[in-house]
Amino acid sequence: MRDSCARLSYSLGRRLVNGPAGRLARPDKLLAELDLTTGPFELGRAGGPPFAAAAPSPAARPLVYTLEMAFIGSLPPLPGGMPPGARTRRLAGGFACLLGVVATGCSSSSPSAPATASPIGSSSPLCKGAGRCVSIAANAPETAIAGAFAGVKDGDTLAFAPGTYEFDNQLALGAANGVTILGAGQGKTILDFHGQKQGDDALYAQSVRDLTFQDFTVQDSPGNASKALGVTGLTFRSVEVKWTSKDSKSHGAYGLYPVQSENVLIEQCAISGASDSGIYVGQSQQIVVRNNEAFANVAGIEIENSFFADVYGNDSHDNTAGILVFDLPGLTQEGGHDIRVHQNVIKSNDTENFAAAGDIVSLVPGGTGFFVMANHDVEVFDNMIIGNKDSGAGIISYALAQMAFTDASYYEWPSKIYLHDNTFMTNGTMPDLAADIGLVLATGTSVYPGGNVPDVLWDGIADPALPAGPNPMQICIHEPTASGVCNMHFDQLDTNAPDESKLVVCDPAPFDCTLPPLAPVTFPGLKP
Amino acid sequence: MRRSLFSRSSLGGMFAIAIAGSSAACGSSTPAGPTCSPGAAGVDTGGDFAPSLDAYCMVHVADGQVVPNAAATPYDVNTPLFSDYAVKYRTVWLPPGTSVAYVADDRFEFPVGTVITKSFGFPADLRVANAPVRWLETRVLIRSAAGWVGSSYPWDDAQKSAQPSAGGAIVTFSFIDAGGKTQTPNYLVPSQAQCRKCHANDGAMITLGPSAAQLNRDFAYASGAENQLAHWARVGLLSGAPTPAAAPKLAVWDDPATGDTTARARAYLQANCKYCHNGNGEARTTGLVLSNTEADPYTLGVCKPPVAAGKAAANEHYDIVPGQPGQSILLYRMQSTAPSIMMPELGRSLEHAEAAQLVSDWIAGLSGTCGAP
Ligand code: HEC
Ligand code: HEC
Repeated sequence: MRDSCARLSYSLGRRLVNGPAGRLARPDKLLAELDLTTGPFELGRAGGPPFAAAAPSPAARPLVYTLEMAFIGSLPPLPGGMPPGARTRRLAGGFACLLGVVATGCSSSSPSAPATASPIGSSSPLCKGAGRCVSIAANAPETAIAGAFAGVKDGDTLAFAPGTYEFDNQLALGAANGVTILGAGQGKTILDFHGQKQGDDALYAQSVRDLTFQDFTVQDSPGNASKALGVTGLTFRSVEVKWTSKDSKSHGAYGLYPVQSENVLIEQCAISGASDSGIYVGQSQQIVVRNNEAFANVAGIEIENSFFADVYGNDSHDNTAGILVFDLPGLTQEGGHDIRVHQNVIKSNDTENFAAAGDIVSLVPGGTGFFVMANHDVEVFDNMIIGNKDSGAGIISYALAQMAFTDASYYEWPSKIYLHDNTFMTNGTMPDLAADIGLVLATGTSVYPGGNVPDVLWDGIADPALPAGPNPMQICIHEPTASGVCNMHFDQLDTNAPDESKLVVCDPAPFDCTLPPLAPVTFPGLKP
Repeated sequence: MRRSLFSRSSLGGMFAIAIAGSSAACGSSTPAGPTCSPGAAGVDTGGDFAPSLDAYCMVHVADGQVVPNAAATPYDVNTPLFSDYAVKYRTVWLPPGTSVAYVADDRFEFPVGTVITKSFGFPADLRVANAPVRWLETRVLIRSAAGWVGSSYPWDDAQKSAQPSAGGAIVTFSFIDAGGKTQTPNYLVPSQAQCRKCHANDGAMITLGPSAAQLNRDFAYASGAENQLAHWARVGLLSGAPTPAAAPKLAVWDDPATGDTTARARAYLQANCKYCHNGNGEARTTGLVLSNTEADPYTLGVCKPPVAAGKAAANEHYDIVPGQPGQSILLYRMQSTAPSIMMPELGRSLEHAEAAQLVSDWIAGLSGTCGAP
């Protein structure tokens, strides 16, 4: 029944042309020429027999289309009149489409959709493939775009033409599977949320399958740029997220924010300016984050309370921290594990921490390369960890967050962590004295090899339930290029007068072990 | 541009757009008579939203008031959702021959075909009793065979007709609040997808108001005042209900006669926050549960650090610090009107100051400490 969309939109176009707003001279340029304040435009009044033959349903009184029904996109010339029988309850079926979109290529067939209602040629060059494609023109009104998002059907593509689109409300997606949100490219299609007044997320989707965001920019959202909750099969490809205001504290928290999702792929995206994490994957499973660039965020990439993540080929630079693998208490999914971090460039993450105090990432010192906190089975290899002035790579427990918790099932220590074959250079040159952790690290400068914070650190806080020993948490480190592999002995720290120069033990021997390599993450549809 | 609520083009920007309509053209939408039936709109069998609200035969507007049509039963809840001080009017209709089964401690599960409406409007001056109301929208929830579906129907200026809005809008106008202050909200007419921010439970739409505890109160029916549970049972809408005295009752957040500060603050959080802050709602990712039955203080936010609050953490460390409203992120987020900070995340643009005061008083009365963060 939905397929009547195209035909109805088409006919509506005709009515608009013929109807009271006779100014619509060029049906292929409806939107441009429709003065949307002069409505209403009536479907059925302007006359043609097709509409006079309205079905006697309660819904069959004259319909008035107001601005809400403005078109997105353009219409090809009209071949003829409205097919008979169109205005039946099927009309209601197509209503969502009439509410502001031109649907092209409606593919399913229906008894009430005669052959004359063949698909309108795709009006957007971006529209490819089999499903219905809804093209959105640059001057489409927000309410119509939001209507198109709300009214998506399984398999739809919503294709934005190049241009800048401004929103004052959050843009939430309806419950349909297999949907693609497509732009004309990063910097070409720009979704601008600086005026957003409602909602903590700019783009929002929940509880759908196989959702793809591709080829556009989201900028200046007051909250998160894009949140996806409970999505199975989620792709962000070549999406740019940025904040343009100089006041970085005013930026939204997360750039790309999949949470409680499964089979997540984030690739070729560029995220900058997030006041928490650029790419933040929380409480999710089967995750691939590859070949992205994250810079000038507090955390470039953060994997939190997640299982089976493969983070590789990313360039995370000039953030406060490059890559974080965290696990926090009190959440539905905890005990993060099976995380691979490899072949990333983690460089010059020396930006002063601009997260709000109280936010967990506000505890991370500016100048952090990599932290893993309270996960198990984590393999970190073949990364370049360079020029991060607080520290290169840290293995820490939740105790460093210095926050109480009552969650009995939470495991606060990192275990089975394997770091090998990373390239370390010039890290730890200037610990961040504005952060507690940095402050403590700085107290050991006099004894550190070369005077810099050593490249690989374990906080030395072990699960007391385990038999004591030099390496109870099974932390294995093989790092020939590291300036030092050290136990910081935070377990013995006098928090009133911390002095690492008395505590730190730099000796790779206890960590001289190997762990079996973790398997690469795979899920249906993932291309290598 | 902001103008008074009642002038012809009273509503600036988006609103005029969203609900622009011509009364001349739409005048044909006469208030539905007693013969119409909400069921005839047919959404329950898989169709789309009726193109005009009157097809549902639930309500119309006359003389500034929402009037229920004959088939619809109006109802109210003990503690409502706050929506920028909007006045609300709710109605329910069940297909003939059906009823909803009483459950004591959860939402009522309505039969397929049920239609519920909730209308939102503003009088020009909240200090004037029984003033005419400018109705902005009627939200409709329909129990289709596949589950609940919902849409807003914004009203036209003439208050004669309302058509579905898929995309929603932000509406700006002014009114005078109970304290005599002019308020200018960025009122949200939610898009059809935004209904799911609040009404989705693990992805499936549910109703949020009708439960024994919320309905257990008197309503001034045309036939006289009567307890709603008793009335629903008497007219056959509700089956298996005990006497109202034996049913749970939620405190009325602003009526001290119905509960102490704790009971009323918890009732407010239950009605305004719990639908997201529970194990299946939008905020399930935080582990913060704001139901009025949550017994674990940490889960309720006491000494619980926020998870993904971003700048909403406001330099503080815990959702609730006992005895310290000023250090409690939960209160701060109730007071904020910034979209990235405020709670709820959407659906209000003004602070509900009276409720914030209530929650502040409640936190002030809690004992304990969180320890140095
Ligand atoms: C900000 C959260 C929020 C949003 C967004 C929201 N609702 Fe609701 N809604 C509620 C709450 C809470 C209640 C119950 C309390 C009350 O009635 O005051 C409710 C009640 C209702 C009711 C009465 C039946 C019930 O579930 O209690 C209807 C009908 C309704 N909403 C429809 C909608 C529709 C349609 C949309 C989208 C266009 C929507 N709502 C968006 C929170 C929301
Ligand atoms: C529409 C859904 C929704 C409603 C309604 C809602 N919240 Fe939230 N809340 C969220 C989401 C999502 C988060 C997590 C992201 C964040 O912190 O911004 C959250 C987080 C929070 C947090 C931080 C919790 C933590 O431990 O991480 C607090 C405190 C909070 N909300 C309080 C409230 C209060 C008080 C209300 C009612 C007045 C409320 N919320 C209503 C969605 C909602």
